[in-house]
Amino acid sequence: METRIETRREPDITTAKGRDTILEVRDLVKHYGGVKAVDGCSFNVPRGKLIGLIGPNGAGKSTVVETLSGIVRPDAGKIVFDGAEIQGLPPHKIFRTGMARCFQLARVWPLLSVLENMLVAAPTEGRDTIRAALFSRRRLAVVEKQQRQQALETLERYGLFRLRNDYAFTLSGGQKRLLEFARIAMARPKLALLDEPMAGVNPVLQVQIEEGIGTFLASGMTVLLIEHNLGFIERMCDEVIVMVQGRVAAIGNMTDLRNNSVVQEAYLGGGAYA
Amino acid sequence: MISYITSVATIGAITAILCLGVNVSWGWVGQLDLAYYAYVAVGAYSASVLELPRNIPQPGLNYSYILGLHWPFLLGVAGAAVVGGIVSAIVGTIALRRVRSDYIAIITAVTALMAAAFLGQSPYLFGGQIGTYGIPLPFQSSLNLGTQGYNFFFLGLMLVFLALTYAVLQLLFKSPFGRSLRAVREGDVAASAFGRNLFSVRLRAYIVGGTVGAFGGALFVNYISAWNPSSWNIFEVVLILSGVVVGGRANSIGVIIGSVLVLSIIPEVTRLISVFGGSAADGPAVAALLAALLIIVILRFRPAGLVPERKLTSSEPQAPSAAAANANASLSTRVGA
Amino acid sequence: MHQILLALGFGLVTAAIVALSTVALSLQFSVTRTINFAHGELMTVGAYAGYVVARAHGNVVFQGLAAMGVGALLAWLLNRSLFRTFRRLGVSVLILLILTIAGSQVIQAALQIAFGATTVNYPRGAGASHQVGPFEWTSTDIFTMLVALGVLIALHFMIQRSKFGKAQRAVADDILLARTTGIRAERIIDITWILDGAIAGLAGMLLVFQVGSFNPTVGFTFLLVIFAAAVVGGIGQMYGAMIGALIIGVVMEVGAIYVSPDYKQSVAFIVLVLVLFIRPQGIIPARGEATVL
Repeated sequence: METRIETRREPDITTAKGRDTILEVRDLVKHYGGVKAVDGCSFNVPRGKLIGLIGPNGAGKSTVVETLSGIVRPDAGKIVFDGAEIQGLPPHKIFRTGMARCFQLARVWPLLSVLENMLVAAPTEGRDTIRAALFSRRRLAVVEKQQRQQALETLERYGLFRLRNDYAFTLSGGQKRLLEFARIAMARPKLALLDEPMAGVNPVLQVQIEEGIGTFLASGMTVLLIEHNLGFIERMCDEVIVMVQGRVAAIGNMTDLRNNSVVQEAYLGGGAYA
Repeated sequence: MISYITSVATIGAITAILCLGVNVSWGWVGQLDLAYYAYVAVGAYSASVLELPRNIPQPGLNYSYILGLHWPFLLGVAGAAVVGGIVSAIVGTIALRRVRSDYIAIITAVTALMAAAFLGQSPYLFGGQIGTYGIPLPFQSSLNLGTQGYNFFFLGLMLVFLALTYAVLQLLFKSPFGRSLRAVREGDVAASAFGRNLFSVRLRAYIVGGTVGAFGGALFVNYISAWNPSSWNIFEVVLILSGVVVGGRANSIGVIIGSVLVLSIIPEVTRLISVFGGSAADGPAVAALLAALLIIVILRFRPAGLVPERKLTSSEPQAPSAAAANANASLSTRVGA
Repeated sequence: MHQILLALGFGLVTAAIVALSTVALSLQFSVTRTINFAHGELMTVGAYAGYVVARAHGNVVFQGLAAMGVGALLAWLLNRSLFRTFRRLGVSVLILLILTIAGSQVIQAALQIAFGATTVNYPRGAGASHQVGPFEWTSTDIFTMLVALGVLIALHFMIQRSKFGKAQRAVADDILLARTTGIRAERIIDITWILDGAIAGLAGMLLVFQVGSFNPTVGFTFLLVIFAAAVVGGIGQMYGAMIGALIIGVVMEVGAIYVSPDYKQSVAFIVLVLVLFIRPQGIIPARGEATVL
């Protein structure tokens, strides 16, 4: 993978042609009052790969995530996901196009059991209507049985099986993080958007999260990972996008990026994160 | 004595239905519907004008009502429920667009007050201050029972309807729809991120609540045979809410228990107030006072209510892989490998 | 035209009463961030307090002071027994709403037991009608407006100039920050509630002084109008509350020319709904959502 060193211009998107791109972000702009959180950001994500998104605090990563997942509407720019333009769509519609995410502060549903958390995450395909509840009971029961089985297997894989009947609010922070991953697995999205999953996580849990990401990739999912843990990024990511001050500053693999002067400067004196 | 008990039980069954309806919005989705009693009134008025015969204007009497289709009981109640659904759909569409829960509460409360003024004022819609009266007792003409026998019959009918309401709502609660409601309640950001259209979910729950409320109101008016502005006011919402809060939010059995406790037992006990030297007219006020105090006390010491919410659990004793391993193991022993 | 001017005149009187009550509500909301559904009851007890005194003394000043005193006491009690207790427990906004509704019920029921549910008449003299410019006002009207104006001006100076006012504004802005500068937030909240109760109580007394007859539900039914004015002006904004009250008061009275007076409140409702659609934050943007401090 060639390292493109950027000074002012965006990476040339045309080189994306020829590779199977699942997500394309073009000239994304989002201002908050006078602050330009995202100021002309462009990148693309190849299908089936693990792509990292890094950058110093304030670079605009969170805003990009919020725009991608539909919580925030961009002021300008395009987001093309699996061939369809999704910028400006509300979160629930974006989920239905096949993008699922986890949150910086794990958002599980507290008064639902762990098992129920999983069942909610499974795609509903029109089954969560009143009509279905009253008149399609048999069909619902069949699907529910399948989903329960799947949920229990997934919970087991993440080591959460014994907690399946507990209220989600009783889980520890790390367990909630794992539940979020299990939920994404249930949702079977095309792209998983992971927002700093390693934040404040102990080493044992880190291993489990790595395994979780590995499972996602093995099942054909694309993963876009926002992280500060550069060692992890280096070990696992196929490609890394570096954002600085609302724009993409560089794209490449981590080893090459370490030697990139722009990236070093952005991370305040270089080597500080090595 | 017996007729007193059947009367209390009948009204108790109907109020239990009303409490189950409020529970859909409050317990399942966590939205405070202060307009609920307006839907009860809408149901009562609708059933009246559907079941009564056409109004014959009396000279000199400023009284009239619309429709007057002389429908039979079941049709009238069904029609009233549908009207309740439609009205709640309209109100919900206005009120639920805003995400601020406090604004939702304000708009619904304001709607209820408006409805109170509007429905009760016009002498042409629903009889104005006089209201509607003379609604025929359901099935009486075909059954021709004595008073006692009819009271039992009607009570039985109400219990059937209560069971029906309970069953239908349980179906909804356990379904993917019910789970979506609870997910929206527990975390709407995450629910939205996992595909739930928040407005649609909230609105549908609101409509279910309004429909059940109107259904209850229709049953009420068929029992009392009359309905006018003095038989209802916004405070009734508090009483019904207290049944849910005390009994157990989002738990249908709890709601029924709470309803019986707050809305049947307390009012009846306060009737005895005259025994203690109080004025009989103060009965309803004392009941309201006690109910409201009970809400405060329960929320302080047992906030989940008497019977807490049920979650879905799995009774599978083993993890799927362990189960599969065991199955393989027993298979191999049988084959003798 | 003459009719509209007359209605405008009535609107100003209504606005005066609404303004007092709405300002009180906004003041309290700005500091506690909770919507008090028992606010109407602060007015009702003020009304009954004035009524009790009025039956003994004809002096309106005594009646007003009684209304303010009782209102202040009730507000303080509400804060101590209800709001503070449950805030410390960390309950959600909606639970607090339910609690205030329950509180409102308790007060209304208690008043009903004490005074009966039937309407009573507030003893007052017949007011002579005066022509002031294009408006026609009775002595009662003028008295109401002057009192309201006086209280609002006094409040303005208190909030802007006094030490308490500064502290109150700091707490309304950011309670955590205010605490770090040494402001005792709990005391400020206490005093704000007392002010809220006093002003609302006075508004209640003025209201029934105007309309003449009332019952224990008078404050609660007036709540619709208060909420409308508060939302229009911007919940939690004192000056917004005054503007909102003016708008609502005038629109209600002018609207009453075209629809039957029974539907006056519907007019306020329509204004409320319109504002929520067009500019939900109100004229002076509302301070934040209802949360629990």
